[in-house]
Amino acid sequence: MKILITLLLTFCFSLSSFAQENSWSDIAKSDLASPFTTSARYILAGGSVATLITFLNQSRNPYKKRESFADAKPLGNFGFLGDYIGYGPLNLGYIAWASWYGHHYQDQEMLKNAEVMARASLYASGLTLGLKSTISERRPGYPDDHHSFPSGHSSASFAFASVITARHGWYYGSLAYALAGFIAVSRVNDDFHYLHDILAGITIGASYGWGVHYNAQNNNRFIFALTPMPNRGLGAMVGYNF
Amino acid sequence: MKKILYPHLFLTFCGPLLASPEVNLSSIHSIPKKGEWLLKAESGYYEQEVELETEDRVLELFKYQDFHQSIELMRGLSDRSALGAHVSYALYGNLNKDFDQSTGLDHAHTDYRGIQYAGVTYKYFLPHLLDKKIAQSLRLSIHHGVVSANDGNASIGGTDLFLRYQFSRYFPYFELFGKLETIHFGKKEIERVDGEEEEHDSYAQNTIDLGVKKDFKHFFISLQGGFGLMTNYNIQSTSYNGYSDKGHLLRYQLEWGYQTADWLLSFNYLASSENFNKIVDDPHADPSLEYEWETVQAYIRLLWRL
Repeated sequence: MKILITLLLTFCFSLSSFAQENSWSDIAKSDLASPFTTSARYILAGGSVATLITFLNQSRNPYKKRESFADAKPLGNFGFLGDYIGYGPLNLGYIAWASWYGHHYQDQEMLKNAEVMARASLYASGLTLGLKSTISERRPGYPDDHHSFPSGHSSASFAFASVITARHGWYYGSLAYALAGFIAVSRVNDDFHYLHDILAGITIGASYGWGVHYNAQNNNRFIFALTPMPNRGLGAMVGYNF
Repeated sequence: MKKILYPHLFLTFCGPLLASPEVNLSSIHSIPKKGEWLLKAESGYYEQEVELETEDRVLELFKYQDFHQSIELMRGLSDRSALGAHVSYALYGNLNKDFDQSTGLDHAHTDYRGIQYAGVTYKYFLPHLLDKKIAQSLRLSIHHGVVSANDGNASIGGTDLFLRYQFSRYFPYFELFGKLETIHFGKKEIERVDGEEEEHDSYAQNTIDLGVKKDFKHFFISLQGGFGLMTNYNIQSTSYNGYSDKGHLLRYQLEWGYQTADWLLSFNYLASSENFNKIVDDPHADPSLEYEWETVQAYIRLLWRL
């Protein structure tokens, strides 16, 4: 997770150095608040209510390890696919591809897409990681693991699907959302998460996916770049467009 | 095991609502304009089979049937929102326990008639969020259930909450629609005909439905499918404790009807299957014991803009 955050951070702010105007802190603050300040607030509000309703209905019985039987697993034994593809590869793969495409074909729109994906994934994953550490809920099928709430796979995959939809339209977006839905359900299927965990992850991911997209439409610009250095260092470049 | 004679009965409250995919009357998600009235009436048959089973055999089998009628009257508060009230009445309903493995074939029967539930609904058209070509609306509904058996004192209460987001989009040859829904099924207390009291803890259900609708001038046909996940489901009585830690459902619905600018009449058929993970807390019970609900509904719907 920390590696993912570092990579996203690097991509995010390196890519953001192209044709920027506003300060880095303005962008960061604007992005962080985007689920509240843009139309993504409808997603945030609806998802939060759904999560709250589901959480309040969660059993108050003492914790008991969940063991699912075959009929209680709608995805059968294919849930592991969601585990593999859900946490990072989709987001990082898209960022890498869009960055390469943008540089190779001088396509500024694709560079912008990569930047939006990196920013959305960063904020969604960062918030998810923070909540996991703070709340420390036991996983239903794995009592020793206390990182159940919220679902990182769900937030990362729905951030991915939301950005794909926002930047490439509903044709590709519906496929991306179907894939994200599969990943989210696989987490309940394989007893890694409760239902409210994945709803919270979906809400976080979709809110930041759309929120950052709306922010990007407003042409927020700045100059700031991070790049990995030898010996585990991290370099930073700050600039301003006149 | 006998103590779960009625857990499925409460689903009758939500049956007609779950079966309502909000057909777009004149493309407006059934939301009347400011000052207009919209009447929705549904009448039909509902049957549910409940199986308590292990991996290789059925332990108990219950059947519930009813013939019900529900009416909803809605008034447009503005061009974006509407408020309505609804009530459902069971003209005839009965509960049957057809099979009990522990006692052999053991038929039990009770029937009832009366109001199933009553509540209020609020609908709101969302602004053009995400995509201007997609019509989107929210629906918030709350109702309280009341059922009393004629030949005993079986009864159910409980308040259910429905929060639904739905969307639709026209394409050249068809319309795509769908909904995301969160339902809170309130706590139910049941007084059984044998005098024992049973309590069903509240639980939540989250579903997604997607469908396509094809218009032929006035006639139309639509098909939709849905998938959902449920939280845990608890049953407690003086001699029995059941605990399921998760569940899921699959369903599909077919609708065929005729519509004009002012009214819509359709026939609906819905089938769903719900499956819960293990349902008992008894350490001596078969750990593979699970709970399965099979539901079928057929009903006629009328939407009429007054």
